[in-house]
Amino acid sequence: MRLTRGQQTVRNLILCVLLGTLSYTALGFPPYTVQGMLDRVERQYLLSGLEPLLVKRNSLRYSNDFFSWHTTSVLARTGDTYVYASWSRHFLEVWPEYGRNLNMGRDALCTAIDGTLYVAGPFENAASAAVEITVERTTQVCDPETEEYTTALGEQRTYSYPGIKVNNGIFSFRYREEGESWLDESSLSSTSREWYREYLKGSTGGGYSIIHADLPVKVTLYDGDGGVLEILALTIDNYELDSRW
Amino acid sequence: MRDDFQIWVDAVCEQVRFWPDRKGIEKELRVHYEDRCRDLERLHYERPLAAQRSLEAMGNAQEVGRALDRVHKPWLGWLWEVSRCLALALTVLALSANFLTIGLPTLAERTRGELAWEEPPESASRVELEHATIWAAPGDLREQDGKTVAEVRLWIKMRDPLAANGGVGTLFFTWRDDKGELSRWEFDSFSRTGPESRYWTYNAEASSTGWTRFRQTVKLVLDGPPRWAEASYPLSGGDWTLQVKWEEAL
Repeated sequence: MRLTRGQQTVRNLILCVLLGTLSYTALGFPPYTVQGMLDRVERQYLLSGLEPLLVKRNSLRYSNDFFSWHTTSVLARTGDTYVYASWSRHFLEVWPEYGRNLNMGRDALCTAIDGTLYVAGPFENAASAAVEITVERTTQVCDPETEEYTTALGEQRTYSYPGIKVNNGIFSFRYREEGESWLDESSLSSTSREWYREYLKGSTGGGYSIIHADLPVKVTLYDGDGGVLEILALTIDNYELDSRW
Repeated sequence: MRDDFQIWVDAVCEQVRFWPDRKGIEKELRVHYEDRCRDLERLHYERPLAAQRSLEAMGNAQEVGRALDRVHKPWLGWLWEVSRCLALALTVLALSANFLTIGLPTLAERTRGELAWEEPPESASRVELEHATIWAAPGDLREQDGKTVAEVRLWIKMRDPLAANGGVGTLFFTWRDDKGELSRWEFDSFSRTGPESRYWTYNAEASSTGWTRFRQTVKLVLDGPPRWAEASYPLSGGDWTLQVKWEEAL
């Protein structure tokens, strides 16, 4: 039986709906909009009413790749809870970068995105802000025989940056300049990476790994007259500060 | 130089707005025309006369063209073309998507998890949230390495399918028992250890992940048997708790 053009069109459209549903399911119901991403976070983490405070997008295309890699980072809030989530997209694939542990905090939250520290909180009354991030040289040595670790702490260094008020819920602090070299050993990016090392006892190769550490972040909020409104004590993972996304 | 038939058929096709069909129309009209010519030649018409009579019999080019245009509706033609291309593209996508993020094995596993759902017991405590309903009931209570392990079974039913690979993120729950708040088991990268007691963690073996239905078992590692334990979730902004009670102490 030969189908008419109209019948073929109906058949094709039904097939499209089925294949589209199958593809979308097989791709894991990827969210392509910020609202879709926040809906996903809400459902997965049993939250409600997340509102985006800041959205940052980055794109990168490798010469041997037809499609670009896109990263969308979102700072959002619901009530006094703040959430930071980041998603990557490559063609139609979308996946969360926050892995298993979403960055979530109450009253205030800080996160680093591509060389800028963002602090989220209720900052309606704050006119300006400054931040201090302290790194401490930390060397761990693992004894492979006893599986015991010894930790030696050393020099401390505090980096201070002035803040820019992005909106009533966000201050940003730029800690890495455009084009800053990986080799600049004095930068916060470098020290947050290179000052946290783990060695294997007896190893002569000089190889080491970089350990995770929560670095203290002190945020001072000022009112319009320059008086101190509040001091927030937060932390940030050293890996975040060195992130290039 | 175009012959008379070509001039005629071009005039017909100009009337047809859905241009992708023009080639097929021309081919079909040419077949009709050639058949008619051959019929007349079999009746001993000379070729030029047969061609002339056949062309006359084909009719007025404008009228034939308009009639064909009514049959070959542009909107239907384009919709048909788009549906063909879309179906082809989606076939390729559906095939390749199975090799991308989730894939068929995970689809099957999640569907199995969905179907393996067992309703929570009547005695389970329950909380209704915007995106889910959660039930909690006491599980096993046992001694292990000098500690008490108390299991809490959770049933989570989502209102919409949840495709996140890690399932429902209940790791921000706060757990407490009659002696106070518990810490979540975490590996400390400095001390290279985790807490020895009064902590909670998941029992992954007793968990299942579906599309809208999830089961989790939380292990509370305590110094002694608890009378009760409760979960709350301050970060959700909601003021709720789920309490479970153990009837028998060890």
